[in-house]
Amino acid sequence: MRKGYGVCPPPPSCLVKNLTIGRRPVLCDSGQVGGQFNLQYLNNRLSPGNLGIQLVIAGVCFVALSLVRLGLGSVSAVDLRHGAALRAATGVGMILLFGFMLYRLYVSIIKPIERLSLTIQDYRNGNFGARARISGRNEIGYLEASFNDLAETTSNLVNELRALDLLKSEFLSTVSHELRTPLTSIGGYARLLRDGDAGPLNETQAEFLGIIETNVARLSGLINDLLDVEKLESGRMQVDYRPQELRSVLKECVETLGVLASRKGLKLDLVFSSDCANGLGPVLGDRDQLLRIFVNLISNAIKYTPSGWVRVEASQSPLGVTVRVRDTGVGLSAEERERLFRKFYRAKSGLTSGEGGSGLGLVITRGLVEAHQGGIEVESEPGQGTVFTVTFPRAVDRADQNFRQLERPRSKLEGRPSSDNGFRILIADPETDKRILIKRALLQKGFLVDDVPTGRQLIRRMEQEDYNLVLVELGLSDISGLEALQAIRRNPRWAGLPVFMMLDEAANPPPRAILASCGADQLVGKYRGIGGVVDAVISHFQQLETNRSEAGP
Amino acid sequence: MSHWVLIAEDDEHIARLIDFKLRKSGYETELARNGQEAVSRLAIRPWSLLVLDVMMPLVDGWTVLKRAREMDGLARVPVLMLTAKSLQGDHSVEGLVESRSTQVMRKPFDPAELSQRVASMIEGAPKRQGDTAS
Repeated sequence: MRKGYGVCPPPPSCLVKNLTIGRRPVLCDSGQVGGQFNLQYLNNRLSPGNLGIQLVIAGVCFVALSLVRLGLGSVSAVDLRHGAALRAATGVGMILLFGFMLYRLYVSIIKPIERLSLTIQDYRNGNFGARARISGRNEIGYLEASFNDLAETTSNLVNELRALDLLKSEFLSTVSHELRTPLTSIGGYARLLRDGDAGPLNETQAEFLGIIETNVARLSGLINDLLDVEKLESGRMQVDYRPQELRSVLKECVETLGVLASRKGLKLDLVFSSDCANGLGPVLGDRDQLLRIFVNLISNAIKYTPSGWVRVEASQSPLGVTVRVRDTGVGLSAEERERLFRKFYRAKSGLTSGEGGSGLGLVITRGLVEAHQGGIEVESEPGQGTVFTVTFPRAVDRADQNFRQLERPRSKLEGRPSSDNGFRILIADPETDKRILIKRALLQKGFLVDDVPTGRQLIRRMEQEDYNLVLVELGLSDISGLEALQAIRRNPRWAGLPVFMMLDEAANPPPRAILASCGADQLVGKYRGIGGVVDAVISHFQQLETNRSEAGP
Repeated sequence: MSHWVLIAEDDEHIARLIDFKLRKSGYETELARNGQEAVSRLAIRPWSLLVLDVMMPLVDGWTVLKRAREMDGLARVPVLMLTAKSLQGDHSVEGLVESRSTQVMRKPFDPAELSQRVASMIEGAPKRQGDTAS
């Protein structure tokens, strides 16, 4: 057995085993990792130095021929005729040898590397089944086998994590059921007793039963909150996106919570700025969930305000809708502000006030705001009250506008990915590699794609052509992605044009509120591979198609 | 004429709770401790309403509901489903709860509300053939 490599990597099956947690069975069949993907196999059967030896032999031949030629050159004076023939022969031989070497170089190095890089790209785009074909018994073959091995390991890990995630969801769902069953009995019997169904009660007994019931409601609320957090985190929360007029939503919240405020002696006001005369919004979203966002924020404000007032202020710009919930409550320290949106965190002042709460309210609120492409921010000082600012992008009748803008053939986004679907996309990204990668992936899905490296070129191109979607990297080099976005939104021609902002890895995302107020439709991360970008684009157009088919025959 | 209600619920205490409240509200009741028992009792009486827990051993509430709907006498009988799980996103049951005669109540529930719901569902139900006005 050759020991061409310092470390002999363990066969893939070992890697797979190391990854399993506890004694749970491996979900991905490691048996398929055999034969050609196995590094051990390569190490045993193939000679990793082959390529080098081939090249060395070819090089030696080349040098030898050159030497012969040089030698002939020196005797050429003696016998010119023979010399000329021999020189011609060696010349032709050298050209042939050179050509042969180039061909070998292409076949054994360039071609396999090209193929391997395509496979890697395919894998990065999310095809976890992509594997390289082992091209030979040499270093390249080893490289290909190594990639296969890594790919196998990674896809096993992904499968593992997916399975774990599913288990977590199932666990939560089961536990919630198991908790609700005894809760139904406790609450139900308490209610029966308090209603006098089992005979008359004295005042203290009724009071105590009331306490049991309050706590049942609290526990039940906590279970619901836990399930909601899980749904938001896993993206399983269902949001029914429809244009919603926010004024009536806010009015309903304030009416519902007015009782709670007045019980504490607080004034609860709803103030609209003058630009809301013709309604607030619309905002694309789910009415129940929008209600929940503001009920959470307002009841939170009431909870943490011992005296004074709570005011809900609404205003809008052509692009965004802003709602502020302002109170004269206990306020928050810098540390509290920072932890506010973390799970289970509750401000100290709230803990000592004896008010209940799961500490999940704001996590859910923020999750719901983000599910509506909005942003939430908090400003507060201890003792100075708190202001929560929620911003949503204003809904434009995008579906309609897009389809009027471009007459395009009927198309299906699924089914025929290679044929063009008529949607035009413009990408602005300073990094050529990534730009081309995204472009190629989108072209493959049938989109018509143009790309530019800078923000200025982006605007210029948009002025010349019509697009259905624009993808802008936040870190453009000449003008920032946000500036480009603002420039786009200032032009009424592009008011309804969907703009997705892309975020490169390791970059700090700007607050969603800012993005929303600038009119960005989505923020898509590139750090999980460009697959995320492609998915976001596809699901956007699928949504458009669904909307269109629902809207008319 | 008194109304008969079939209660299928595997949790003993919840079953007793529903049973107690409905009897108190003037209904005749019968208990089934699992789905199989509920199915076997579907035909024994002209039920005015079924209260079915969704999660039951052996045969679940949705299956009992399907069986009931297949029977001539129970095709349109009001059914109140009890569930501790959210039905959001559960496409398998969407078609089943669309109709007005099938309603869903989430656990934990208020027994008084349950009894009111039962009353209004029985009142709004189409009269069966052969029924005399009560």
